[in-house]
Amino acid sequence: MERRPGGEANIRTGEKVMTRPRTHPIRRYRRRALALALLGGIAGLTLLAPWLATADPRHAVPADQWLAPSAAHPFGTDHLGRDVFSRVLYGGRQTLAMGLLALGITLGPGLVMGLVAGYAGRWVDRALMTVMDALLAIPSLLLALALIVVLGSGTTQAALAVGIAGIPVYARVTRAAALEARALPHIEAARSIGVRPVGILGRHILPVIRPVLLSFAGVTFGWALLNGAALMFLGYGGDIAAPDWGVMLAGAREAFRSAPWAAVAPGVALSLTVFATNLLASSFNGSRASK
Amino acid sequence: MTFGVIGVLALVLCLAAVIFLVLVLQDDSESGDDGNRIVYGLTLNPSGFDPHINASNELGIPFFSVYDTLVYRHPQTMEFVPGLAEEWSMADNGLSWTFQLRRDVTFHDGDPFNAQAVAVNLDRITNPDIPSQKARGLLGPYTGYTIVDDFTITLELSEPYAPLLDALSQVYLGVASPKALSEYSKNTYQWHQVGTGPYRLDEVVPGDHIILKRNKDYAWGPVFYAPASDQSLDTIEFRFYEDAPTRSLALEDDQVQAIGELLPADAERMIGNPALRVVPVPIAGMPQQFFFNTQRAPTDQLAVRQALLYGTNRTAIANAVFQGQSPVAYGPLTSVTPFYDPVVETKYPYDPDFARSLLQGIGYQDSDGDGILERDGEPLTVRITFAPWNQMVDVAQLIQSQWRELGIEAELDLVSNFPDLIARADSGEYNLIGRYDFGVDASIITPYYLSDGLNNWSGYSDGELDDWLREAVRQPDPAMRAQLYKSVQGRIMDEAVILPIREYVNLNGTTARLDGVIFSGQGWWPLLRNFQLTQ
Amino acid sequence: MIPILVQRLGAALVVAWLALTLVFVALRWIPGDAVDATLARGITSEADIAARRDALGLNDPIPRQYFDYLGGVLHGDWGESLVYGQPVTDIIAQNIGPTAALALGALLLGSTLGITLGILAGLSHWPPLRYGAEAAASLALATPVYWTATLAIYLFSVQFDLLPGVGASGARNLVLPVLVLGFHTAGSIAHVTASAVKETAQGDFVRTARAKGLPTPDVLDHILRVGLLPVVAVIALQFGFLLGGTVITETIFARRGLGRVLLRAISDRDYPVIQGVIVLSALAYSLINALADVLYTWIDPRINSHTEGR
Repeated sequence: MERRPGGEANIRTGEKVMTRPRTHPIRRYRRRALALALLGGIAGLTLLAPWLATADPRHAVPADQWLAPSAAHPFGTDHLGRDVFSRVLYGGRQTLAMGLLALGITLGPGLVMGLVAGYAGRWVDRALMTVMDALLAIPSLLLALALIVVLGSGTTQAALAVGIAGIPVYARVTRAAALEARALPHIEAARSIGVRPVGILGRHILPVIRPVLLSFAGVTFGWALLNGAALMFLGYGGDIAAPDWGVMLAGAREAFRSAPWAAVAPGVALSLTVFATNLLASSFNGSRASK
Repeated sequence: MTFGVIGVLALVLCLAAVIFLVLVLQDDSESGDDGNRIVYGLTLNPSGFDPHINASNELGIPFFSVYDTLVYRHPQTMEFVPGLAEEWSMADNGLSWTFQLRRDVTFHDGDPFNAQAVAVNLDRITNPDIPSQKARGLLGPYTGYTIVDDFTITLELSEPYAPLLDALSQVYLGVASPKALSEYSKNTYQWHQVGTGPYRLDEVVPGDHIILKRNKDYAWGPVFYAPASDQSLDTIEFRFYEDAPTRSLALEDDQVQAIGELLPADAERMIGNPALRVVPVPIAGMPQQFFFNTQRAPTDQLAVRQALLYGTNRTAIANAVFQGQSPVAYGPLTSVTPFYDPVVETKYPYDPDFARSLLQGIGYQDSDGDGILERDGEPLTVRITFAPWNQMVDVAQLIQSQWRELGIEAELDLVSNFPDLIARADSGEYNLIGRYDFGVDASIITPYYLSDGLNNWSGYSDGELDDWLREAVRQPDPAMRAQLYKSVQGRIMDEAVILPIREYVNLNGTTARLDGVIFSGQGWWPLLRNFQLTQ
Repeated sequence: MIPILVQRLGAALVVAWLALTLVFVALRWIPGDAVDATLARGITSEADIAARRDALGLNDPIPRQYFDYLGGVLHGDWGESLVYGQPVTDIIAQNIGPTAALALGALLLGSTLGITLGILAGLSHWPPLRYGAEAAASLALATPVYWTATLAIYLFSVQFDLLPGVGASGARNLVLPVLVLGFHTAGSIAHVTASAVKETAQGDFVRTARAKGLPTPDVLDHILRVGLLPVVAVIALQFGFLLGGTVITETIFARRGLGRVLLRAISDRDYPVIQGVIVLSALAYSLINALADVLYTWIDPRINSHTEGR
């Protein structure tokens, strides 16, 4: 564990651990409110897609190819004459679901390994973290790409690949936090009176490091969205007719000179979601998302 | 140690800047005076460039002009004309072919061309240690050769083989310099290729570029090669543009002066641009198509396959995806392929109502009102497997959309590469699978339709069809072959083994300064000798 | 100093070896391989395919393949591409230049832009500037490379004919890719810089200095001296992101480079090439980070005394 000036913790993985909130609480809550409003709005729109959409997102009308935005098609139509507005609404479902699935896959093993390594220390820590370092040394998108070779194409597989690629970073962050929490006086005390490790981890350490874990979960979700969309963009997603922001961006690129609008809506939706996620993450412990 | 963070940071950044500049400048080393020079955009980076070993059509774009072949197909008439062989004859029993070779030919490295050189090439192609992906297969029942004299060679066959001349006219059987072949290994020869053609290989940086220079001594070309003039190209640099949307950008920026496989929409827009020219070249062989899996429900039923054929609006697909620049395909061969039978055009007109009635006839009905047909509670679902090339992604989505209106659920299964496609084919878990191949001789379809063919992905098995296909390869008489292939095409469509979509058209784009842009009979390969750069 | 250097470099090598092993094992799980990819394109028989698999050693037991490969790597023989038949080291050598140029250019631009934005976001007293810088940094973090790349080509190349949109060689062709990739790199650097300088600015020394009425430039100098420390490490970490980013950037801008080599190798199942590129990037990444660690200790010896373990 390296200590850096100003209470900074390990920045090898870019995380800030246990940093006292520097941002004013009110500003933090405002930030969290804005982030939640944005995310809630996006999630709401995608959930309400069946009622809000003006057209079947998969229904191709070849005659309506590349129509510019109009009252009938607020965001225009794409290269197969599908309504971009409806596709963006429905597209959020798959993109967000993929992000959530990837997040879940990252969180479980990441959390467990991080806690175990951080709490057990010694050779367990050393062994686990060396493996994590090895994975960490492979850039996450490259790791996801290598995994997709093993797993094959498909939406679930892409989410799996992205999720697995996120594990080492999350494990490292958790471990760093747990390590620091372990040294806190009341936890030391609990250990010395012989409380079982599971109890200590669950009842004492987890609550202390929750802000860090939540914050970094937000950051991880943002990465998962971007990397997941990247895999869809590169064509590893299986069902390509599915409305999905990454797929839409890839399709729109083929015709971006005839119909640039087809790339704008999914791009903005994706960026906005990731932005809101990062904002939410930063509101948990005052440090902003950092890679 | 009081150097300071800023100092260190600045130092590191400066160091990075210096390395960066060195890399950029080193990358910038452009050649000087190359005479008439163009950059030709290749659309994919083939797995290898050795025509004897590799199978990609793309490799012929540069190398068709590096090599000469024993015979050529005339690009207009498709007839065979002399190349390195001045004349040839087939023995009456069809088991040997004798070629009289030209006496005035030398390789780029000064080695003389003769019967011995042809023999060395044949030995190389048939050498089991050289894993030939295409050339060996093209030679069919070839068993060996006899050198009659210095300029006469006889090729021997174990059975009659009609496509022999077609094989010999392809770049894969181009004649390479024996000296160069012995100097380099089977892996390294591809970067040092030496032929007798109108251009010689000057430089290769794998994955980046290939440079050809004009062969000034060239005087033995086939009849359709233009004589050299001061507008002939002296230097041609080939670069890779694998990502389709970038091709039109490269052409419009004048980064390339010629490029193949433009996106249809880009080609469409380019037609109004006076600085550019679009040269569409129809490709002989199989059309862009899907094989039906005749071994897996529900496409094991003829009525379902036929209903899918009637229910697919191929004109709408050709218009929307290919901007009307490719003709609709109706049968297993494209209309520019010799022995094409136009009867297939009448077989499956777009008729959704008839498609519905066919499905109704075998018991499919939408009993639960969800818009999808069922039979015995089983919904009518088909799985379409395909790789992303040639706008297949868009084609599949339109098909899915069209079939849904008929009450058929199409599940799209995009695989990202060829190994995955083969893995799917092996697993048999598809109802339709996209696969096609190109070649002027109709025998290109043989391995795809023979019951035990290596590429029989439809699982269709028909003894009579097998006999026709085998006989058509043995039969030297073109009229007889035409008759056999007529039966073959009829049977394949009557049995609805495939869903043809569109005939393949290579949309080439060039600068308007380039004249004489024509392509070989096979369609893919430019006759660079005829290109003229006007100023 | 030297012991730390040796220790860090040793750790980096161990990490690279583990990465190699993980990738090697993972890749052997897959059905289908390079031989199917290449051979089946032509007209060949099943027997030919089997023979080729044998010749390439794809039928050997996996442990044997692993030790053969590892032994080769130690002798500088990274194997041959199953598809191209070229030594992997040659393929890497031929393609590393353009990727390095792109990554370095993006890193330069990203560091400069990121530090500037970070200082503005962290220290500016004028809210519009502060929020503007913060927004720009957030945007850089939230937009995917493939989207900005498309927009950049559309704007700079199609709408206003300023720069070539695609192309492989020359300095002009490097401008757009570097801009796009550099912009994204700037995002995280800006965020770390902002919080680091903000924190330093709230520190006791600065408060004392301000109270004493020291001139601002000196205070600023101090803030940057201390505040930029973590930025050094973050810049090193960006290398990982850059190597991933080049995959997409090279594809969209039709550039030559390792990213495209990797994508291509993935679709061909060309194991030695995939292994080579990934191991190289792992090696580069861990070496650079090891050096950054050492540099860090050198700049600020205080850290040394707190360092334990790793």
